[in-house]
Amino acid sequence: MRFSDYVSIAVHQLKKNRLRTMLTVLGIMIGIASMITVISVGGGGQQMINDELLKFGINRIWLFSNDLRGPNKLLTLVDAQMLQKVRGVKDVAPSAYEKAYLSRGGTKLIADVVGTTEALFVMEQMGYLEGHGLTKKDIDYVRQVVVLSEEAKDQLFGSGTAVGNKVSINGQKFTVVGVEKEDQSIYSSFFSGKCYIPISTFNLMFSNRHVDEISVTAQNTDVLDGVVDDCVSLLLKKYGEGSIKIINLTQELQNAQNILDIFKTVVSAVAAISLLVGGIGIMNIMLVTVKERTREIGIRKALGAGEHHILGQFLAEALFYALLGGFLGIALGVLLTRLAGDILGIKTEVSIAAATLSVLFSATVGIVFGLMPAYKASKLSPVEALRHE
Amino acid sequence: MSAIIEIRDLCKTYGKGETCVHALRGITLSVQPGGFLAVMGPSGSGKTTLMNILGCIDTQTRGDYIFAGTDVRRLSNQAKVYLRNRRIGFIFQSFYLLPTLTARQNIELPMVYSGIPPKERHKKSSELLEMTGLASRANHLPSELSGGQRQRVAIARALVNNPSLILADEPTGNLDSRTGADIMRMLVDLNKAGATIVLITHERSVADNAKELIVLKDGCVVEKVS
Repeated sequence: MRFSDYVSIAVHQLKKNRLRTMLTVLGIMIGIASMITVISVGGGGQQMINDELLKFGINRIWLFSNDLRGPNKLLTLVDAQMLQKVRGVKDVAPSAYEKAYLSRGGTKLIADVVGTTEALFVMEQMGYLEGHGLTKKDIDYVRQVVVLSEEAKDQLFGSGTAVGNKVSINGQKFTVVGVEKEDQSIYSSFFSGKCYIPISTFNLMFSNRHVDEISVTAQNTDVLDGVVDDCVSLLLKKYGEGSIKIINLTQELQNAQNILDIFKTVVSAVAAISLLVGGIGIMNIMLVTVKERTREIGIRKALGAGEHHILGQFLAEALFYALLGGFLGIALGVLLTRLAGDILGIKTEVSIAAATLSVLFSATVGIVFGLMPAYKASKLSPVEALRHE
Repeated sequence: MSAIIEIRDLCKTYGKGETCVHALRGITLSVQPGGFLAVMGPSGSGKTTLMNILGCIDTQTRGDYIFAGTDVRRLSNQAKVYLRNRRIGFIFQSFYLLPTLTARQNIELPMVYSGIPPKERHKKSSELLEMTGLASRANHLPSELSGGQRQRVAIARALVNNPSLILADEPTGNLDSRTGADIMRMLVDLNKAGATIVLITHERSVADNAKELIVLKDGCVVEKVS
């Protein structure tokens, strides 16, 4: 018996009982579809979180003084310059914070004023609605210039143009050079209603030579650990044991990954159960089929079908149910993935690996659950099978 | 010339102990190549059991069955499958066509199991459809054929692998007398062309077509005519 004969018998049988075929296939289809969806949406979510963290910086560390007497007693611009020389460091951005009155004409609001350098704008890959970020010259020449957040600009200028106009910070005039575009980054949403001025101007204005934090980016993830060690040991040597606190996003990334992993595991378990149920459905229908077609099996055996022929025939049918379910499941899974991606606003992609895996998985289900009924059919005695009504 | 069928003291019992049924009680006979044996007897006399054993789809409890010089009892399952497929052609009372296959597909079925390529199958089935006068019915399902046509499909199917032995179990049993006569004429012609046939029937008029006749009763041969 040829391979094409097995295929044609299986297709013939499945076509003959369309409704039965569809219902049998449904279980596998749902299982595979949910598996594909979970893997793709989960993968997309993971990618999104990775991207977000990368944007904010997984190559980035934040250094704070650990001094409980006050938040801004230790670190200075000199430290930032020192850290810039550490091997593997890409950018160093010192930042200092103060609350101040931000006003224009009759509008006045309390905003966070960030004193920083041009490096911060590079690090955070900031986008601009108008103008640009702070430049090195702004810092060097202690210019009275400001970059507003989108929210601050909206409140002070409404829909008008801000760049080139003046605002006052605690009564001092500043020229607006840029408006930061606030993207929907999940990690930056809590930093709105603020403005950036040169750190030099900041120090002068608030009579404060300290910075609150220094953030450092490593050239890549591989050297990150070395950079962290070097920076921290330099600062500790200067300020003493326990003086410096460090934060980076590796832990955040790990947490996000853990949550996703749990989510994936739970939904995969549900998908696996659904596949199991689908497999049992196939086994059930195959047992019914073997019973119904006992006479046929008898006739085939009388005409010279061997046990392996009958086994192969019924196994092929079970495999077809499973593969049909697998392919339909992939189609449904792709559809659901797109839908979920649109609803959740995640960029999703169905991986070839996931699709291949599910086809292999459904084929295995078909063979495993088809084996028992097919074996039963192959062992039927021809005489008794022929006598069967 | 050695016999195609040689059976000696063949017994078949079903069940065990008190419920034991003796279907065959020591049958001895032989059929030569080109022979035409009719087996007669009332229902329950063991005719079909005998035919199943001759066709290698059932096994005797006792006694010997030598098919073309081979002791069937010693054959593996695989070898029996081969015999059924290549050396024996079955014709059944209720045709036993597969209802979802067309006439042509039914005829080609044994060739599927012999691993013959589709092209050759098609050629051979075309020949047989022509021979049995069913050329125009090739693509009809059994349900669209008359009883006589169905039995002709079954005969074509039995012949498709050029078997050494044709076993016909009441081939005319489900047919009206005229169609039955047609079918018998076909078998007689096949026999004249050299086929060895064992025919089971309970009608004397049908049995008269054969060259030899045995009558079974309660599993024993009660009459032998040759």
